[in-house]
Amino acid sequence: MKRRSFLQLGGMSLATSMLAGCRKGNEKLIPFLVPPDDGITPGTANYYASACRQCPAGCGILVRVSEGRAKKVEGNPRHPVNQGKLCARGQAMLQELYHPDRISQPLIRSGPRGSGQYQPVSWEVALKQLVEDLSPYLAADSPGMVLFSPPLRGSLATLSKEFISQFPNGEQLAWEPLQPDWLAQGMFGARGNPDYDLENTQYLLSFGADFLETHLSPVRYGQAFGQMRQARPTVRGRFSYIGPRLSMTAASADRWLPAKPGSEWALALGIVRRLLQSQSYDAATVKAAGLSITTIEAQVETYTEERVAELTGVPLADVRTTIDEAVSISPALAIAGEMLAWQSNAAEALAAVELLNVLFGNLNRPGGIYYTEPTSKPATNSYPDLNRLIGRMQDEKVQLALIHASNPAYSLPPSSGFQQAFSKLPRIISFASFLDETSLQADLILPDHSNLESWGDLIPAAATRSEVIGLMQPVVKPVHDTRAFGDVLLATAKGLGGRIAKKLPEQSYLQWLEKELGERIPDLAGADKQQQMDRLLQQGGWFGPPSKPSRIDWLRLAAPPAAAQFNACRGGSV
Amino acid sequence: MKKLLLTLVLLCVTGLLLGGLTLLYHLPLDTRDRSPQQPLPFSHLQHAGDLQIDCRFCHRHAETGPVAGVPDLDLCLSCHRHIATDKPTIQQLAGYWDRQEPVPWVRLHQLPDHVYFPHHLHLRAQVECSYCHGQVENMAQMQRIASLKMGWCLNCHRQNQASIDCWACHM
Repeated sequence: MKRRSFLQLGGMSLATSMLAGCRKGNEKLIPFLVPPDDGITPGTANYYASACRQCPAGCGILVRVSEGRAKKVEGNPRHPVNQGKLCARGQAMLQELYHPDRISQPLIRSGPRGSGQYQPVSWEVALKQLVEDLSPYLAADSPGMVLFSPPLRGSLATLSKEFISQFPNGEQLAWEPLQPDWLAQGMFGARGNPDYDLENTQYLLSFGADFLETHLSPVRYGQAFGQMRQARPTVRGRFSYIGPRLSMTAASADRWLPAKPGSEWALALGIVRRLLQSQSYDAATVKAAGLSITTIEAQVETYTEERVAELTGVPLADVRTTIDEAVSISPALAIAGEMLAWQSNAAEALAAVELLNVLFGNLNRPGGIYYTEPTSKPATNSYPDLNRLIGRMQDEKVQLALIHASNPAYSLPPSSGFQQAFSKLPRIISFASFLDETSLQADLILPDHSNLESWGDLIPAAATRSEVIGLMQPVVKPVHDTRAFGDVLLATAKGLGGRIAKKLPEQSYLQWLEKELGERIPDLAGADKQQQMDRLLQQGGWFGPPSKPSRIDWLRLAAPPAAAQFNACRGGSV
Repeated sequence: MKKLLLTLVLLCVTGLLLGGLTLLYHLPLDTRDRSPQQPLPFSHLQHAGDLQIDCRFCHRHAETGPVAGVPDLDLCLSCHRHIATDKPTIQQLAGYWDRQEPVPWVRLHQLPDHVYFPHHLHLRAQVECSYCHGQVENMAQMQRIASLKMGWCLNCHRQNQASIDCWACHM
């Protein structure tokens, strides 16, 4: 830019900004038609506790509500997962609530599929249409139908399971890219997700786990990471990141080892080899796991520093220093992330990290990993399950899809064949709040309430060492003419009549929720149920006693994976 | 010579700019209507004056919150479902209710966002409503009496020995 034009532009913007500052006419003063029941004082905010369902972590939130409008969302200090903090995703919940593009009422497709041409209809018409669409599937010889959802926990899980099980060929597919439930199956065969004691560890190795961004709960582990680094007066925990991408987590590490994708496990075995050589492993845990040192020794013998450097593509000096540190600093902790779990050699890679943790002696001890019995285990499906479903969709064995709170057309790669098979389904019904890639294909859209308008219970996917059931309550009146997914399922069951209506007699989702919570929360067993419920809603959920330690499936480790299996990904060609 | 000319021009420009800014500061630039036409001809003269209804019957939050509040339509109709229903303005008011539309009153008193003015604290200090809002019981159509400028606020705060700390209002 020339100096002259800079001065001209600068002068112009100065003048216009001054003009904009001048007062224009009087503003309007818009009163309520009828004030809200719980009474408001203008200018004074009310705070409501609720829970965040923007990701599976399940943090507790406090919402500031002014004049009946939600204004700000912050973390609930009493919630064990996030302890008063909240991430950007949770903060953005308000943008979902007041988004101008939200679907404000039920829609029926009027143009060709994918054109985005919809006819707004009333709920009566939409529910009648849904009942009409679903009724043929109650017959035993009907084609298949599927309910897509993220892995649900708690009362919505039981409700959707009960609903879908009434259809002889119905199935539920619970899949979400951010779901961490592979951790429970992939590591130690435990029943719940792990809780890493980052706060008390001194040396952290992350094998592709972006715990400051997406892994488990970024809020929980962001705090824990800060504690590990700065909360102890004499110790600053050290952190090495092994993985190909310089993520935000990798950038926070002391050392980033950019290993080739699918080769991270080699470093774990390199450390295992050195731990065995220097006799610095935890013999008690190895014995408890029923592992034979000589067998492991034989299997990891070839993983010298040179070989690890060659396999991972990381400079030898870095490999050597990392192994030195991991062996000499205690307690050390290794965590495995999505970067390992989503490769074709995931089982072996996770077993390598698992083995390393056993040698560190990390189970259920400070600075290690805690496995607790989960309050509720979600119905979750794996990627292979999804592939099978796509196959059945291609073979036209599945004819109808219900889509709840997920966008598989976006989150699945086109190479999976999902998009093509999906767009050919005869009938697609969505409960989406927005017209996204998946709901654009839908024939009927029944918009769900947003997070801040819904009732619900939220069991955190991120494990805590105590039992937690977060409670969601509507903090504002529904902004649009939307209905909760649970309510729609119950109303549909009623409309379908017969056996399904008998199985789901509840009038509203709130009734279903209260029934479910009554069974799960001991505080709600007494006669003062309503007062207790109010108390729990006020504090944001039920924060129960410490959980029982989970059963560990040692059998998985009794025969450590053969080294030959690892060779499958030599040179990172997975 | 050229240098001198340049200096003079620069001085002139600076002088003009300063003069302009001083003028901007002193001119009464508040061009908003001080007594605008409201969507319905509500009369304080009749309600507060003749009928002597207490201010706080309609402006219910004055004692409890920072904002005094305008009455909700339901409150207006709690009387006017029965009183003076034959008058055209009341029928207009009922029309708003039938359409479920709020009355778009024109706002007279508005402070900038960086000023915190709590009604309840001023009422607690026994400041009369009329001190800021004028003798509304004599006004058939509401008008703005006070300038609501910072100097005007400070004047009263000084007279009554209230805090003149920045943080008292700019918080």
